[in-house]
Amino acid sequence: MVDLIVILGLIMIIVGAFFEVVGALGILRLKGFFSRIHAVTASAIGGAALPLLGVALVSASAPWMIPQGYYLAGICLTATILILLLAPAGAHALARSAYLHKGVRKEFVYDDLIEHLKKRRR
Amino acid sequence: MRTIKENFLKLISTKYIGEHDLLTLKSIVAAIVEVATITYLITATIYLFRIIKGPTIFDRILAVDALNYNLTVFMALLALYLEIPMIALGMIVVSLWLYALDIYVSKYIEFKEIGG
Repeated sequence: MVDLIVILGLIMIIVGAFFEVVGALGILRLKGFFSRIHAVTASAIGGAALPLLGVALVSASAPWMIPQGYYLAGICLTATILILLLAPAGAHALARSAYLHKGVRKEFVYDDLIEHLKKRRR
Repeated sequence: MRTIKENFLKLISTKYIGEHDLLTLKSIVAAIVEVATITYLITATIYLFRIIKGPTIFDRILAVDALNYNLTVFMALLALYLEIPMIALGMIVVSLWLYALDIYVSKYIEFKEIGG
């Protein structure tokens, strides 16, 4: 049972490393700010929250780090909850500010939201 | 913990097959954590490239975000590998500081002020 939980945590760490590589390739190759923020937020949940949960599982159930493993698991769980709460809120605020800045949305083909905002401001 | 090079050398030398300390749980955890740590180091250089190059300020803030999420997982993996959980204490501070950075930059650019 302990081996099963440790292997589950290791699988979560591997999947998180894969998501991190995908996010890095996205931020390197994609064009435009809004494509890049899509890649970064996908890699923030899949590449940061998931391997932190994996590290918490491994360190809480591995038999060779009994006294200090619970401490590491508690820190990892706290950081996971903080990232799950704060990363989408921060990315949303950044995207809203970038949309209202007029410098980023030059390459849009059709912009429906700005028509809606103009109509609402009248 | 055994390093990945020793694991590989033991794996390709067939005279150690009979011993049962090759594929213990601890060595598997050590090997996978080493590979994941090297992966996170390599992706950190890509984020540094986007921080230096990025055309607008938003791209740079976005790359700083991604670099700090990378840093939190890197600290956790290092604490798991070295068995020193004091390394991982900075994760909570880093994730909180990152949210403050996002909010301050977006609020300054949208309203041209920071205060209440």
